Amino acid sequence: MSQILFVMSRSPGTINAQEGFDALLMGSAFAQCSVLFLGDGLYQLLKEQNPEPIGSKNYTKGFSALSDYGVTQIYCSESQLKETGIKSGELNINVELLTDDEINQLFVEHQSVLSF
Amino acid sequence: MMLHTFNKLSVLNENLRFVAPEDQVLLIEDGVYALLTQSPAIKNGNLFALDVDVQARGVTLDASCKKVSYDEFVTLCVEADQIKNWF
Amino acid sequence: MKFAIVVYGAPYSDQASRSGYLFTRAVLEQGHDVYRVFFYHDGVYTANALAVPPQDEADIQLDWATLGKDHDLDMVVCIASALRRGMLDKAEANRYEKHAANINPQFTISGLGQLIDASLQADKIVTFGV
Repeated sequence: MSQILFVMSRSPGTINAQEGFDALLMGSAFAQCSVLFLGDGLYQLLKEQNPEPIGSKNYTKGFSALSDYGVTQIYCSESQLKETGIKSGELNINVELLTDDEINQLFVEHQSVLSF
Repeated sequence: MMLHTFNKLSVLNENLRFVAPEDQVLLIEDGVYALLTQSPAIKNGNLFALDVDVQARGVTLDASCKKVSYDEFVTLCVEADQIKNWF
Repeated sequence: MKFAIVVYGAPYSDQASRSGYLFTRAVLEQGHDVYRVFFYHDGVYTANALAVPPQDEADIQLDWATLGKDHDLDMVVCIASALRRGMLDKAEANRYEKHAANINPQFTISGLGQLIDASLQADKIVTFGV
């Protein structure tokens, strides 16, 4: 079981989302990490992002390399994903959909939770 | 048993679904405004609000919510198996 | 019990820095250990030594620096967040040839590894976000 759960709840246009991803990569160097996308954080999972014209770096391109960093447990909220209207074909990475109860359980199973 | 802290009403509304019935919920900062609009669906005496934030915002508590100090906030953290800070 | 405290909000813009301060003080008053306080995102502005708030307002930066000094706290400012926001200590100011340093020496500038270490070493990690 992973030691640290990274919870991403901010939209990709925010620096908090990008700095959260930086923290996840750093975490993966020291510990077994998993990542959970919730709320506005789900928008980080959209495939066709091109934020350079608005002055943001497309750090979400790095998601495809997460498995190289040993981050293979990637989750999101099934109920919130449905609310965003994002279709499974629009996702930039394979994510496991969890029910609300499973997400509560995910928090409990980890040694610590870092929220971004 | 987990401790969840919420610092905004919108964040509470969006994420209350991830709180288990036995978990404890602490409203801090603007999260205490939740006490005005609704009695959040948290029962069994598991709802708390941070006293200084309640006083600062002029919110009135009903019997379903316990007022706690920062000292008691620390104790809630010590007693919880896991902490999730929602913001 | 060992606590780690993480602060994401800038003083005055959000309550997070103030809340984190009051929480850290309560942790210490109860006799627990503070393993580290980590300032990330806009929380790095808490280390600004050049802030001059009006005299009748709380001085959040000074309160943190004083608490850190009195309790010998390990208060770490994330280097990536800090540089991006123009928060520099003397070494970084020299390295990037900037004309001033603005980080209070009570704070240490360091990498994200310090946040990961804190989350693994502390019994409890509490984050004050915005």
